[in-house]
Amino acid sequence: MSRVNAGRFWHLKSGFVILMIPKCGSATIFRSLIEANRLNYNRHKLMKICIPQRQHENKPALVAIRDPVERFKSAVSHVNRNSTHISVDGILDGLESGSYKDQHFMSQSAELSACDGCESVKLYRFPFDFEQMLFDGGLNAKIPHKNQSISKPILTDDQERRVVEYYKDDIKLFNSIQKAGQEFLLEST
Amino acid sequence: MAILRAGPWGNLNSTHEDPWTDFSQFPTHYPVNCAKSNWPNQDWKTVYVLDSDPGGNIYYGTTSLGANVGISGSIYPYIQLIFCYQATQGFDVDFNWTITGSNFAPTLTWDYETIEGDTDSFFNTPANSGTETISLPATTFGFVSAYIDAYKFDGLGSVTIQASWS
Repeated sequence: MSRVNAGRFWHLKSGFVILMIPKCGSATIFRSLIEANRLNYNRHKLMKICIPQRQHENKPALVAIRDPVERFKSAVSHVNRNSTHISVDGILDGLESGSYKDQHFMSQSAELSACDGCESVKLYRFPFDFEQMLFDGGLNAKIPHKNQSISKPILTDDQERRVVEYYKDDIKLFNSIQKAGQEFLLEST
Repeated sequence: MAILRAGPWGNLNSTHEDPWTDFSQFPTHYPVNCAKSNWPNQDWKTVYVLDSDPGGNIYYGTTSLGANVGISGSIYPYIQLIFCYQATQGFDVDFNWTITGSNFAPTLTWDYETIEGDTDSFFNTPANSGTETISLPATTFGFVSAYIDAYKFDGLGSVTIQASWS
């Protein structure tokens, strides 16, 4: 499974960071951040402030984790938005062999390892607890969603079995979240 | 709608500024364009910011409509293009990008704001190349910024980004 060397983090005025995991509300987080900061920064600095950074600076982290099967379907829809067409089986073959590396399909539990060194890590289920995560981070939780997937694929039983197997660590992680903002200890992965 | 000309450069806080000349530092005002056209005495321009990597080289300058700028990096290079504009009618502008290399994760954003208070913004984790069309409103003075980066997640080799307006 693909692992990242380090994650990307949005830095919030409240002192928290949000770990960027593609297909887990990134567009809404960005829009919420840019609206929160629009009046507080010179225009030329605003964009850079609202872009996720490589360092978490040991700040407490907020992380949205999505049901891996739903995230996979959303990611398939995302990478097929334009003229390209990559089949579900083609993506699964590539993921399983390690030849297909795309950020939308990276394991969430692997991305979570980037929070190593954060003061604390709080988990939220996406989309159910997403507004609560934004609220806890001091952001406006009522920003309209602009990047909604239009047509997600319907998986065959065999495809779903392969997705469940490939993302078994993510499924365990997602199912472990019993309440919004649940503390997570990285050692437990 | 009749519009008094602003510029030749400016920003939302000061719509009449001289052209920026010291490109050793981040410009704080930008060329004011006439939608996607040249003024009689000023060609269409955009400011570019090219950052090779965190802590690495950063370059500022201007380029024209349709002209690519590019940067390479091994960690997290980005390109930001910024311009201001005046327009009696809304119009579309395309932000184009191409990223070459392997094992990278791009993010793309754009944002605009007009002096009348219209705003919009966008964030995406896009394909390695493409075009994002931004519909800009009529305004007496508007600010537009688009940004594309490539986050190398394997730490090996380099990645090259090119971007332009058209």
